[in-house]
Amino acid sequence: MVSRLLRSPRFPRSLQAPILVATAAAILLALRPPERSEMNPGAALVWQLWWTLLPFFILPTARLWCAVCPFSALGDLAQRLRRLTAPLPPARLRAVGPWMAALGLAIMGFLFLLLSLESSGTFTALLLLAFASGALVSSLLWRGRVWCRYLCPLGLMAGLYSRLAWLRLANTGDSTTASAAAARCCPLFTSPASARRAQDCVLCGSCMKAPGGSAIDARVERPTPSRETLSPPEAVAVSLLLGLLLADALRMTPPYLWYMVRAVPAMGGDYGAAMALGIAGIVALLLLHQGGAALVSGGGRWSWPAFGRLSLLLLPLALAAQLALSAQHLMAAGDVLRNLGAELGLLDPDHMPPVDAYGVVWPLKGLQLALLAAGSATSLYLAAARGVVDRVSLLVPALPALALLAIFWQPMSLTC
Amino acid sequence: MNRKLILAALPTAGLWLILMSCSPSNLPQVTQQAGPEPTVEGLPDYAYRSALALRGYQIAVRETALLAQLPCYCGCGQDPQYLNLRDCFLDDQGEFRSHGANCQVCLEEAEDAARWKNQGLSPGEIRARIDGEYEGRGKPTDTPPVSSDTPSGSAA
Repeated sequence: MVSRLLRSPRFPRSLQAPILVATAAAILLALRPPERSEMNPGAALVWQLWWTLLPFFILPTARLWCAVCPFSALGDLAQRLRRLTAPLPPARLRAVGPWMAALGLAIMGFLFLLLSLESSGTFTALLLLAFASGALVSSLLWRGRVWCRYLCPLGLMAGLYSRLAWLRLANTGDSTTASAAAARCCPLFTSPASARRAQDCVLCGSCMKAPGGSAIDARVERPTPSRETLSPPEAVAVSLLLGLLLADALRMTPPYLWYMVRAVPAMGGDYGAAMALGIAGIVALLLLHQGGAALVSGGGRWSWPAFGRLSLLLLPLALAAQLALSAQHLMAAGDVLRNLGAELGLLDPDHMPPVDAYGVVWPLKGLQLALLAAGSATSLYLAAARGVVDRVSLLVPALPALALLAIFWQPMSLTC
Repeated sequence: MNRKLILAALPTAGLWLILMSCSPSNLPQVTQQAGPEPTVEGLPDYAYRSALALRGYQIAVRETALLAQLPCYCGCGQDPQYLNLRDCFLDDQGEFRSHGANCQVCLEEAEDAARWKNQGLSPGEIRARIDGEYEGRGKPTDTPPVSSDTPSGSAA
């Protein structure tokens, strides 16, 4: 069924168009008052629904979302209007782009936490417009989906998680040459399906529709992360992502208050500075720990492959943490959507906020702990499969896993 | 090897220790005794939930009289304990209430009120603006009209 969908000449355009319209509507709604996301329909749609559902979508479908992403649709549209054939992306961009995407992911995560990006209609609209501009400009400058392959921070994140996803394209086995020919039309400049890395394929189906594409098929199969490698920017991005997710999860628990009550006065009453220090501290601890372990395992010599190997062990933890956090946000979305309904005049506006923001919903807690247990188990499996057996290296995933379990064991904010 | 192991473990172990020291028994109380005269320094833990919440409680302490003259539109008006915006942050005994920390409308109203006061608006003018801006969000508290519309400096 998935193959039939991807081979359809109407895919992905028929899905891109309504999603593009919905995104434009979300931007317009986000720019309208009231500003706060609890009441702002645009920001609530983006952060309470789309953002929380995205990781649950990536796990079974890899980067399929990227195929129908409204920003790439905008880029595709711009390229169809362009008369001259655009050049290929330069080598420097291909080298630097992923670092820029990793930096963008870190900045976005930092702003998300620091400025409560998710609770601001204006910031939400600006962020969406920035993504749209990036996709549009890169599509006008270069051939294909340069934004999706090299520059998009969310594409980088989706690509990382795709290594643990179940859907991928593969050769049917009889015509490697034909599938290689089909791969030449790939807008993401990927390899033939037989050698394709899951993180580079957005499953747009271009190769399947091209001559020779019959040799390529969509398959649902068990992910094989033990065979994966991470490039240096991807390896750093995993650590940054996990650090930010740890900080985000911590923000929703009582220990966060314990920290802020002490840190805010210490920082002269500056809430933002106290928070920034906390986030930077967690991210720095994680990076230093991992970097130190990579040095130790390399006998005192720095090596990116050693660092990347440790990042690969952190990847299942990052995905588990993101899924667990998204589940928490989805739980809180009920209140937000009720407020939204009241704002639109669809529901009775009267409400009372909870007396205590922190609580335990046992089915949700069970799901979160199960997700983290699965992430930790996958991490251990990867360590064994990749021959990471020294205790120093094993502590790199073990300690964040314990920290995540301790954080999610706490009562968490039900109002986000 | 053991030394290296300890060095490598230190950073995350620190985070782990901090987390463990914050057991659920340290949860913020629903109300916290702040004495008859609540001060900015004695704010309850839950006031630190977000920058907006902290500003809200600081405003509630500094502008108690002004907030007592403004209705709250979050919907708390359905509870007879809530008669004005101040009641979302403090009760009659000067104890803090956690309601405001968890309510975006209360926090935004407090912030708007403080901003308009700084712009030199009188309590009556601030109330009129609050009514105009927030009407329809929820059942307002049954707050008596502003008695004397003196310049904003005398509100607190």
